[in-house]
Amino acid sequence: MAISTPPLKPISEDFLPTLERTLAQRPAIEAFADRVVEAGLRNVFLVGCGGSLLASYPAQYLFDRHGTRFPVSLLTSNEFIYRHPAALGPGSLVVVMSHTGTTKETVRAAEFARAAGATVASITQLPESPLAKAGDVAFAYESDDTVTDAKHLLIGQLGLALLDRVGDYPDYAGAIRTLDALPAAMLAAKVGSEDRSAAIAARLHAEPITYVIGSGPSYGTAYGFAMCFLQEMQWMHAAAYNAGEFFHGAMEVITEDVAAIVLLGEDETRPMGERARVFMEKYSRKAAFIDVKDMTLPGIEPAWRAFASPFALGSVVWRLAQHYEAATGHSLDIRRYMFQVEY
Amino acid sequence: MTDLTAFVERARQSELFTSPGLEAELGVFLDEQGERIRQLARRAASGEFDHVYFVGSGGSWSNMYTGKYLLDRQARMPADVLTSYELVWRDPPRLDGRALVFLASYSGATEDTLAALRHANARGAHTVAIVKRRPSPMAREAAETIDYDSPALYILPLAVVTLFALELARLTASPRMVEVEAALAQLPELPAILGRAYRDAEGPALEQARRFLSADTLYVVASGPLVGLGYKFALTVFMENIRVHGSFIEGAELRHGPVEAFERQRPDMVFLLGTDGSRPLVERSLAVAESAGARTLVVDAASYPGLHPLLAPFVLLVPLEWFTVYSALLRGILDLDERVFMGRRVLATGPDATWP
Repeated sequence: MAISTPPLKPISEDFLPTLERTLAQRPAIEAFADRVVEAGLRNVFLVGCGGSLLASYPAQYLFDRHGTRFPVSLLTSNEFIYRHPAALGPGSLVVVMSHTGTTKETVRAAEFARAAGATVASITQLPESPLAKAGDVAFAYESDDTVTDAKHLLIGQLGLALLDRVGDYPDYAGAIRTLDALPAAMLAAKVGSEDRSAAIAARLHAEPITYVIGSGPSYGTAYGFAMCFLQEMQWMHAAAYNAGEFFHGAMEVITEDVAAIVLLGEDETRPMGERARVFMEKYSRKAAFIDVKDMTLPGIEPAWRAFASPFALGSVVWRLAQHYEAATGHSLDIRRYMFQVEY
Repeated sequence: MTDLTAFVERARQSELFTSPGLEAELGVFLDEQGERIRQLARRAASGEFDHVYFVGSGGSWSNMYTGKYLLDRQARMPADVLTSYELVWRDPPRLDGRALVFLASYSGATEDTLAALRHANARGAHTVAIVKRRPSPMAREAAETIDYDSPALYILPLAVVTLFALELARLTASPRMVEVEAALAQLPELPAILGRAYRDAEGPALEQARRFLSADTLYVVASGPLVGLGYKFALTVFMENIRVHGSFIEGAELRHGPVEAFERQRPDMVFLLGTDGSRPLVERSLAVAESAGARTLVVDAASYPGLHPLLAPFVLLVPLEWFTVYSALLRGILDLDERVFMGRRVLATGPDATWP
């Protein structure tokens, strides 16, 4: 039987319009942040599953670095329900994310949070989805192609607005300037990385296992690439590690034949990524690096490249998955279990 | 005596295999250090601190994880668990004079945890080093030190954060007081439970290790209170000591992606089943993995009747260590403390730091 390799899909035409739409929601996001803060915000929980949790990692990083007024926890939907945090109640904000808006445990987490007296914000594709209806407010991005990037921008705006409203963020205007420049910069990052992405996919698409290493705000992207793209959409074994943690055990299996992709941002966590790069260059012949320093990011001021790094990496890595698809001939849309069977 | 028996005898003396000594060592530790840990909980309950950080790397992150889990569930005290360098990089503004920071490191000199300690000290936080022994750089520099002088690098720091979190929850009117008091009441019985687990787990371990001898990738799945333990084995034991590929998957996350990879290569998986509320979910994940052809090893807290669900990570360590010992020996890894990279001065930077 002849098997034809699918051609590389074009970068989706709705990329820029979708991201612009998410930015246009800023007034609604800010009004919501005002309401929540005025009502007395005590704590925040970022909740979701799989690909819909990874977009919360940069937000958690932002909260950790700047927040003084309310603690923030990131939990998978079921973990959130089973753990049933003692501090959950009135004054809690729970941000739930799901692309389809139907992920059972995430809808249940939203209902569970509201029953406990918390305020719930949903981030989802469609404003009419069950998850959107389960929340007090919904922010929808209305695209089936531009998903994680849109979630990144929505949760990023919400996080910044909350920090700004409690006086914890030093330069909100600078962050807004950067956010407004991000859609074009993210697109340029994808386009500018095309040759490198194609080369990585050509070199690593048949590996039996791939380690993906990220740190700080970009750990979520590493986790997402390993789990959603390689495991789920390419049916390849993979694992994600925080760059610092990789050296506390995992690296003992590295030989010159073990594949790894290291993500490097320009944020504060770069030194550990650099260290992973040096180690991999020395001990593996199958290491690849995706580095924000190689991206031009037009419109992003030098001082804001650290802030922009997780957005740019997320964008390039999602595109890298499409290069894998073209190299393996395995469509990113095929699932054996997810959406197919009850489990 | 067959060779294998001789090798197992030697393994009992290794630093990796902590189970043989746990019964005695945990008992002594709770007797000697329990009151100091309770004192820290009293200080936290009195309002001296408004945020608790649990910090460590690798295996010493995995036991710190339980501190965050227990405080989330039982107390209203905000808490974070961070790997050592992430604490430095994130530099949270809440890390100040009103923060209590636990930092675990077996050697007391692990480069990144030493850096995190110095960072927390510079921010004015109250730092508590949990280390094998003084003298060590961390013991010298922390505001206080809990040292344990034993190879039990998972269980004893775990005991510190467990006792601290439960006691703080008890003192601050936990909404789950019944669960808290039952777990606290069982803590003194744990050494004996660990002793029984050690003696009972050897029998099945050899057979389990034989069954997984061809495994070159081991996924570990766990949820709820067992997340830290699952992470520890995936990252720092199976990869480091058996030298197979590994990854940790949270029980709730298995169905959100990883399961799809099982089509191409039937995976080998270790499931940690707790008796807490997350059990049904992990059972579902187990069922879907088995239906996809996975070879599975189930390590089940229900095999220890009466064991409090929150204390499961203490006990499930033991069968996992036995499995590791036999898996390493059957693969010809006879010196369980040998590493390819770690501890060879190729990883650490800085004059007084080691790795790990």
